[in-house]
Amino acid sequence: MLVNALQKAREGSTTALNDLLDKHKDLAFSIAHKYVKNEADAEDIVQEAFIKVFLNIRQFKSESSFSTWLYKIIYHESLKHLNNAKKLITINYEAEAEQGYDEMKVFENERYEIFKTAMHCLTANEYLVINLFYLAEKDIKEIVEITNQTNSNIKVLLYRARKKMADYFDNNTELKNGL
Amino acid sequence: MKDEQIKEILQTELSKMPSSNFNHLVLSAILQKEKNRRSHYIPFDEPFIIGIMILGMLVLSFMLLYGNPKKMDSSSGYSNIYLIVLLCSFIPIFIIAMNTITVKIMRHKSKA
Repeated sequence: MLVNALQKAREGSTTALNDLLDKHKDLAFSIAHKYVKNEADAEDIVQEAFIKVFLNIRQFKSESSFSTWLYKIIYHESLKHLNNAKKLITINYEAEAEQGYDEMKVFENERYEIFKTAMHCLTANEYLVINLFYLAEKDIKEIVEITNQTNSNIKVLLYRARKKMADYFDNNTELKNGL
Repeated sequence: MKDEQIKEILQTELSKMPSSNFNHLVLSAILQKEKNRRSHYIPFDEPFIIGIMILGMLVLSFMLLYGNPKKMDSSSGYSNIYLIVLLCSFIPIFIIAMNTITVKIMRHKSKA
């Protein structure tokens, strides 16, 4: 089904390409956001990536998967943005969704807050690698292709990310209970 | 820490992009693609331009092979006509060729 969508997108179907991008938009946005720590800048990065995808989809040769290609663009656009900005990255705690009287919703918001706090222990590269590995289900080879880093670097980043998360949750009982 | 727990944390923490923002970004990308296409628009199809260029080169070659300004009587003005025809053939071909080359370079740069 994905192969069909990609084929249609390469033939010029905007709807098919829209569907492909919709599937990966959240992780793409999260990765960009982790690097630039700012929603507006993250959206700019995602927009640049989408433009590149739209302009070059016909030339996409399917040597790697579409998601690998997209995340590669996101990663490099994020780095380019950081280089261009040359400013200190400040942590920007955005206001979360309003709390409702729905208990489940309140609980979910609290879990989100807990996990979001936990993620601050990771660097942008560690966050990228661990998300690509677990959420995007990329193997090490694909992550190497996306980041242009060596195999051993990726493994080290993954190991550190896992360890940091494990240590963070072990040291915080409240966070542990949030799991 | 188990892989499933890590996956759950990452999934929960994932920043969700609002649909309206996503639609806006996709629309911007489509508009940018359209803008790029229009900025590279040539009023003729490429085969037409290439045909004009080949025809022009043939005319020039014919005139160079068979036309001989030295034999022309300058008082009769044939040499002037020869030069005018030569210029009139060459300049449009040159302009079209440069335009095509420029567009190709710009397209290549936008892809890079």
